[in-house]
Amino acid sequence: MSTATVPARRVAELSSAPVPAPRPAAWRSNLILFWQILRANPLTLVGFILVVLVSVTAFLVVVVPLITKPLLGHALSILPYPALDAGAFPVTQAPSFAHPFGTDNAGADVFSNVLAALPTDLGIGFTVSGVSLVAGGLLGLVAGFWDKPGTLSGLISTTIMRLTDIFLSFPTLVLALAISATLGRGEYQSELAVLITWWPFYVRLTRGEVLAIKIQPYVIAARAAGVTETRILFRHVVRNLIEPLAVYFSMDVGTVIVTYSTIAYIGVGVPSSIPEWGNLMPGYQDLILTAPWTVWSVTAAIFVTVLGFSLLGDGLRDILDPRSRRIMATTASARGSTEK
Amino acid sequence: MSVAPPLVQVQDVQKYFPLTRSLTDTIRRHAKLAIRAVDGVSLEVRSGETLGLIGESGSGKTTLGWLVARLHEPTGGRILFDGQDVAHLQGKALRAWRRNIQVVFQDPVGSLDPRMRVWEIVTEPIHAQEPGLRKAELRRRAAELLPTVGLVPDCLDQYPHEFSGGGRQRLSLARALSLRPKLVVLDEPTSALDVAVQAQILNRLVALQSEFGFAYLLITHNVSAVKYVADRVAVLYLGKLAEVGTVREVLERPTHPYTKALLAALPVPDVRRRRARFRISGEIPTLIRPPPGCRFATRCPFVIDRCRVEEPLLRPTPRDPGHLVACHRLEEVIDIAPETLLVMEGSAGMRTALPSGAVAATT
Amino acid sequence: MAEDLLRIEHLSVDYHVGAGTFRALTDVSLSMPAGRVVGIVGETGCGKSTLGHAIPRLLPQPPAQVRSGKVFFQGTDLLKLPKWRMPSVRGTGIGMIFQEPINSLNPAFRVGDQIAEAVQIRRLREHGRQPARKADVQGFDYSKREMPKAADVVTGPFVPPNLTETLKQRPPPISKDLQKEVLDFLHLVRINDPERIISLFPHELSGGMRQRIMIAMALSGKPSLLIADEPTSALDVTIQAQVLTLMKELMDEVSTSILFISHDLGVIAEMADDVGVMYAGHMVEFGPVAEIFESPRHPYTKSLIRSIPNKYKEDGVLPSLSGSVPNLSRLPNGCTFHPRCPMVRDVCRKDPEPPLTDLPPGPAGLVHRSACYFPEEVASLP
Repeated sequence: MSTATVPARRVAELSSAPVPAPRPAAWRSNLILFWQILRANPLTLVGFILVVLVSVTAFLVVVVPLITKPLLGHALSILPYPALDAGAFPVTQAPSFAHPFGTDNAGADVFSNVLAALPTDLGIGFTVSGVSLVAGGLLGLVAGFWDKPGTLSGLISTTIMRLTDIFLSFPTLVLALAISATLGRGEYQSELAVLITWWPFYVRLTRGEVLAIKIQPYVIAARAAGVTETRILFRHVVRNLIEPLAVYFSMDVGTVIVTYSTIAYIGVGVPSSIPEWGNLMPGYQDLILTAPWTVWSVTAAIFVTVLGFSLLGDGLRDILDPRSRRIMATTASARGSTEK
Repeated sequence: MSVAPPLVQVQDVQKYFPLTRSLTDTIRRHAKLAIRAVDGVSLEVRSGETLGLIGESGSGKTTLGWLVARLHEPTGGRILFDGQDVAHLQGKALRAWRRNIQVVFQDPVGSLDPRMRVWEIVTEPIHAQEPGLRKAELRRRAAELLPTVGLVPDCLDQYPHEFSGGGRQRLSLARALSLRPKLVVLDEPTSALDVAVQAQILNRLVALQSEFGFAYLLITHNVSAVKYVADRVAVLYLGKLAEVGTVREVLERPTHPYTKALLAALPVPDVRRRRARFRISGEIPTLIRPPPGCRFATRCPFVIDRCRVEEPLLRPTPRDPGHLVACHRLEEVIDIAPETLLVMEGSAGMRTALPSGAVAATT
Repeated sequence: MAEDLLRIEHLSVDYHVGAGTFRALTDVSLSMPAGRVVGIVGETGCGKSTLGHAIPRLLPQPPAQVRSGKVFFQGTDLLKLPKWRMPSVRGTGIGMIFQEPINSLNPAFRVGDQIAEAVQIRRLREHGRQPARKADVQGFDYSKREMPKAADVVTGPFVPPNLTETLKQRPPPISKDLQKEVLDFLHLVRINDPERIISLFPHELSGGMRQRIMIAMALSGKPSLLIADEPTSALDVTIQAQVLTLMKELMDEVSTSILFISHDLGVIAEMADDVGVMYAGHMVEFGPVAEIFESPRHPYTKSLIRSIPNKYKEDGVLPSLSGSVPNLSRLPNGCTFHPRCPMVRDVCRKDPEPPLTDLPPGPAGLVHRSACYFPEEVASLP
């Protein structure tokens, strides 16, 4: 076994050594691994299922009418009844087969309302988090990677960070409310308001991670090998950033939905003609005793969505990190040491 | 002496790390404080030889190694590599020059990117120096490299965390050797490893050197590793060179009081030599305001007034012109064996705290 | 023969991580008479630290789980004691010193206050009960006793008949008297100007100084057993020599027994009276230090000692142990060392594993145990 006592073999002999082929179908083994991890973490699996369920439903709500219209001439919808359709049914009916979540005080089907709001909320969650991720991530990357004091880049870095600090010094919700009230009611106005308060968190997070990665010995080793700074940035820094950012992003989608709904609930966000969870609440809150299903349905929708993303985010850490990936999937048949 | 010109010549190199100053300091124009990690060191490494750098934490040995590898830019002095001054190389020229010299780091976990596969890690320097090589070619090169460090080529697609500490250090070594550099800086390569694994890696290092003729700069606090791998040894204390010489000279006839103290303090796995040990008292002074004169004067049992004022220069010992020692009392201390330092236990401070008679003598 | 201070019988500890079970300790037995320094040596992952933490029950559970075994300390099985009584054993019975003193000292408090706290806890315990008698710890029936209140746990299990009484007797925060004792302990660990040191924060001290403070804190409980887990591994050689010398001197002054855990054979050779060699969670050899180092009776001990580099490269290749430490979740059948053993035979590959058995006593007549079927042949190994 030991090679320690054997002198190194001549290079000439070694050049004929067979090169092992790349592992066949790496994506397939990754998929299996992914499944193993999900099975080992029931909570992540729950989160994953919830996120898939919610996303697919939202997709269908939007896409089914769009597809069926040109095909059939009239739009089909997976909503059982039109949303926010006042007076369509008797008011405040308890949940039944016809109306799984009952009807509200305007006589509209609560299930349809909740379902119709899903794409709006989910879309906003993804858009705000996504734009924040890209914008904040890039700024954080710049601020973290080129932060040598006394240079132009150092000045830029400092500027970015001070600007971020200014935004972070306001309470998020209050600032978002203020901006939203200034911009006036509207779907995009309140989205912008949340976005403006959201990106600084990503700058902070990214910069912190970059600063930590930048001083790792493997980055110094790459530099010592003559690897260019740009390549170090992409090969080492960005690659190691993906996991913390993805985790934060997936948990953040839920938080954005909550913030956005709060703005709508207070009445400075989405106009009441658009189905949105926070928007439905002001009308329903008086019914909490007489027709509690209205309030509970909306609450449950928010809860389930946020929970799904949080659970998934927690598990993503394990899924994306090759180190814990193996441990999670390790069974008694773990691979042995490869050293000879 | 040696006919071949030295591969690396370090000439009076300094590296100061400025301390961050507060705004008021800047306004008041306070003197700029700095950590003097390396403070005027001259050394050379010859082609194909191993120079061991030993010293405790704060001695500047790692900084010196990083200076030679140009991971730091020196504050002062020159670093000649094959006769070319590389101290202030920048940009493209620096990157191209880097193929001559590679580094193996201490931390077997941190020095390998956890998200890269073995073949990517090992061929990173090749890719950096010869961009445009295809993946298949890089994998072929990686598969060639792994056996030279004692790993099987089947592990090309594994991640570093699947290896033990020794295995990771082999990967680091493979990466460092991938470009066939002229000099490899080994920064505490075995400090994080167990003795059994350490022996494997040290054997491997020596075998690779005789096969490929690399020069090594071995930075470590582990004297037994230096003893096995090094041809010559330099002892650093607080950013200054205390002693340089061939490994046998320095380890068997340590001359500088600090070297004697260091060797005497080593725990030896030999029960028969379980003895009262020499103990140099006192803490290692700070590098911000190092003591004037000899850096070791605060802890030296042989200290005289001159040591506290005048800085000793490196002088050859009478026995061997290649054995240089920076001590004013060189001629007087040269024949004192480390073991006999015992009687001289307790300069300054330490003794006052000890009950009378309770000198380090036990067992 | 006198009662052993510490006697471990067939202790096995598992770690449950993910889907796997790692056998950190398998059937470890050890006895330690009072007044001796027992060294535990082995490579990373051999279980030596787990052993050190299992004795005062400091292992995080989960993931750790004590599968079986007994840990007798002064005649009491610590593993059977109710959890809330453990704090009293720790500190006053068993003191601990860890590798990284910076992590073991609270960065927010001055070192003087931290030592004072340790001294005070001991004093309270002395207050609350008679001097430690074995009867105090033995024969305790958990079911018949009231559950302790939170305050009792903090001040120790020796629940005084009247708690308020004790609280009244509690010395004021830093009395002259307490301060004097703190200074005495700092003097004991050879700190020159303790008056200055007590007002410093841990980060203002050097590594060697911090380790002295840790030793002072551990000793301030006047423990009868000190568990030192790699106490000098983070220190520089010359500072390590200072701390080791100090520990040796203190042994005589305060009559504490030390369980000294280290990966460094040199340190063990200098410090220990008896040495236990561990491999993959097993105690493979135990004996007096001179015999372990000069005539080891287990092939692992022998190759471990031989692999310390002690020659120049002209003198040839360093002897090294081939292979690597087995995965603790899949230990090999039979002797755990057999895959790497130079003198392996068929019997070694089969279960059961060779037990740790007494060897015929040597000239000194001290106990020497080896878990090898062929202890006599080890001497003939190169």
